[in-house]
Amino acid sequence: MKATRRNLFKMLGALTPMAVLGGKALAADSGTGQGHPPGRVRTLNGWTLPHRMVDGVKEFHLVGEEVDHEFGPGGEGQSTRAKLWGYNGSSPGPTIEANEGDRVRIFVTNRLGEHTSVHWHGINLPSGMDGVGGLTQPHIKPGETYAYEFTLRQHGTHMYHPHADEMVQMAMGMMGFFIIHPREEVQPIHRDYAVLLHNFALHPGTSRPDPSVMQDFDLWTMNSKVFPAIEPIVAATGERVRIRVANLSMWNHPIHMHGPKFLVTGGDGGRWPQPLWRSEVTEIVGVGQIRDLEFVAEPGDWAFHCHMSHHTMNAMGHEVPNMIGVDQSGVESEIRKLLPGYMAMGEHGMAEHQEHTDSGHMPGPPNTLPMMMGKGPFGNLEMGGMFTVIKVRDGLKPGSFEDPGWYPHPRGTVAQRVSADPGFGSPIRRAEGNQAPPNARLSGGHKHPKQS
Amino acid sequence: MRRMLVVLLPLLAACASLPAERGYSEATTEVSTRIGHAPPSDLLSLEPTRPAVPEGEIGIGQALDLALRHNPELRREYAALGISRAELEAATRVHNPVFSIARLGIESGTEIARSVALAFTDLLTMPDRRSMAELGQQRAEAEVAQAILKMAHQVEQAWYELISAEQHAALAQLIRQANRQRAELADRMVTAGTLPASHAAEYRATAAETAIAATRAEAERLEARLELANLLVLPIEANWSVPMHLPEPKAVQFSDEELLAQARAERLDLKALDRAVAEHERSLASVKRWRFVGDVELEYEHEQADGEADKQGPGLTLALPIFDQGQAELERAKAALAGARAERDAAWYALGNELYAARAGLHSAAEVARVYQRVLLPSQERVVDGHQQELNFMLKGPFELLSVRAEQYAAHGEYLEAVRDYWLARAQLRMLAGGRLPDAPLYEAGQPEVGIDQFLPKAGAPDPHAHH
Repeated sequence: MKATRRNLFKMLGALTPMAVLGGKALAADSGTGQGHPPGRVRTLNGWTLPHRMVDGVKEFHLVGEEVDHEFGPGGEGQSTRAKLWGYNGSSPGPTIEANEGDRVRIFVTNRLGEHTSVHWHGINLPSGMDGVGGLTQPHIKPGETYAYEFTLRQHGTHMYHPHADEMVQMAMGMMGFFIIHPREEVQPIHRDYAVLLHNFALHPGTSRPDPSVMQDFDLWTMNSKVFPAIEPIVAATGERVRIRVANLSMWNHPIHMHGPKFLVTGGDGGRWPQPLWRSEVTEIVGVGQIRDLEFVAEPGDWAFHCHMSHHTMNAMGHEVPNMIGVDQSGVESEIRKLLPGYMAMGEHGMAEHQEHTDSGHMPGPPNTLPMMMGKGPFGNLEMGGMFTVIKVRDGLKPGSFEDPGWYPHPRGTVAQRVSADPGFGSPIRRAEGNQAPPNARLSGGHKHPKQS
Repeated sequence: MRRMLVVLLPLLAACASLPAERGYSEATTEVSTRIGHAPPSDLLSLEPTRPAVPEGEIGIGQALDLALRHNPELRREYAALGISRAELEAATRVHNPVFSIARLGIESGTEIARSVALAFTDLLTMPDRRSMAELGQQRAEAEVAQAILKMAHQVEQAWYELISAEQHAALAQLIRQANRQRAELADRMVTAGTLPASHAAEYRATAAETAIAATRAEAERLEARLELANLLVLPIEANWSVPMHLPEPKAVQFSDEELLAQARAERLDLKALDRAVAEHERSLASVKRWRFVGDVELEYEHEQADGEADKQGPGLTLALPIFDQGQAELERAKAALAGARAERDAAWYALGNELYAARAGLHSAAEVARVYQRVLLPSQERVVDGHQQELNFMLKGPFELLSVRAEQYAAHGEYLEAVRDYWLARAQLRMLAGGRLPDAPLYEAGQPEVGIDQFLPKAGAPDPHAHH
């Protein structure tokens, strides 16, 4: 057995009874969300739960509890923090990794103020271990610890989440990955990522999610983070990369990858037989569903995001008036007599919005990130929510996940401006509906009427 | 005749005229010591004139001076003092002696009879009449002083009402502006194709409602201006104004007991009622004293006849109380006294309750203003700031922001009304306490602290476009 840190845990567990290896010793070796303890899978912004071996059984210990969580920092003074419910100090909870054939024992301690349970989503197990409170087991009351024990007779990407007051508990962030590695990988994976999609109704200015919301969510997250706080997916050119995408949100998400096509190679039921693999650039991951996406890394910076465009925004109003094409000249100056901080926006679209919020002269509500964020080498990315970047570089060391920075495009491979004249060239245009807009509307920004 | 003159001379001395200022100076002093302003005591001798239109803002002190100097109503009140002065004059005088002469033909020639008669009843009742007239004069002085205080109170009320109406009208215009901009934005959206015309009509309808409200507020402002203009005898259209600030409400620093004691000592209407009771008591005593004495007349007669020695000697005419012993006058005096006492008692009994209710009203008004200032307005400000922040982050639109701004203006208007109500309640309490309050002996002209300009956007706010 190779002496990786993960294997050291396994060896240590095998040699040391749980009674001897106190919780303190375990805690010293376990992740706390600050780093990423080694596992085969890299959970973006997350961590893998250490285990110990007791009489041939892999023991894990989950603690359901309230956690302090930051969805992401923004510009200066901007951040969104919240009291979530999660496991072992984080949301999502730590990823549980085990191998096909393992016997696992999972302790679940409830440190919440109400009862809970844990359902092992997609895992074949005795009915009494399925974790549906009231149906297959008594609820785990506050302060109680339950033990789940079963043998893993499958492999694949799975989840765990409560099946008690689940509308609330999942809306509050209780979820995690349960990944079972196969006895043998048909095709070796060099980098294995896990992304758990979710949504939070963390209304602007508040610090606890609102579990009653069903559609109009404020934050669309990957592993409970929003762009640009979501870590990049890093790979070396030519490596085979797997991204396990699970969805515990209230919407389906068409996950789109720029750059190389990917193969959809598995789902909740494990890795599919190779003839079933299919090539896609966008894969809808339904609510409660999991998809494994695999690709061979090509150099560059490649966007990876949900294609529901609203899901790549942070907090935004869903009922704001549509000001596109609305000439506010004159009105704006009159409104400013009543509201000096007022600024007309949106006549030519919302692209300018990030400039305003980033510059700090238009402060938003406390504990609220702007709708659009992120800066790239060429300007504002104007993104948020379920968006991150796959960064592929030549010669990255195996196992290095450090952000390599922006991609140095080879000369001549970046789109460039050839004219600033809208009348440039003689493109064929259909006459109707394609009249050139007045120059004023091409100047960007908005008009500046005289203040009266 | 010489003896007659000896009797009349002391009477002539008693009939000296009243000083010219008697009554007027007493009334004005009563007012001046209470509110620090009073009409001139020689008001009736001054030529009635309209005041020159003052320059700039009219403070409450200037408003009082204008009204107390020029309002014709006060001349009418002063005329009442003239009546009471006449009564007092009459009470200090007796009817003139009557001289009669007769030439009669007699057998021996001619007889000339001369006589001087003096109605002695006047002389007998003069002390009582003078005492009653003196009390009547004091009653009149108190009543006139009370009327002056009442006018000052009306001026004060009208002054507060006008300040409030001016501010209310200005805020109504701001609310109208906010809604007008909402409607304008909505129309622009219709033009751009981002809002159905029917939705824009809702904004237009709301804007029209606020325009109507602003027009009504302007009418109310004019009505309040008319009220004060009439009291100050100023032309309504002239270029005069009142301040745009009211003093901030202050804590009530006196007890019910202090207030009641003050009112009992200071209330001029109660003083007038007391004097009226004393007047009637004196009247009843006089009736009782003189009920059996009818008309008494002293006479001295001299008869000179041809061929006869002159005859002369005094005479007395006396009504005999056989049929009328003054029963009617006695009943009348008793009834009048009972009525006066009842009226006085009613006022005294009501005094405590009136003060209690007015003081409670003042407390309520102060509490309402306090809650507006400490809680509601800061909350409204946070609401507007929050909406502005949400608009900045495109979480809300300008319609909601303008709407909450308009609501904030409305709340400001309600606060200003609460401050006005406080000062009106304080003025009312001061009136009930006799013209001054235990914690404010004279008229209080506090520093202006509350006004619409506090709520208006500050000029020179940074241009949010400046960063471009």
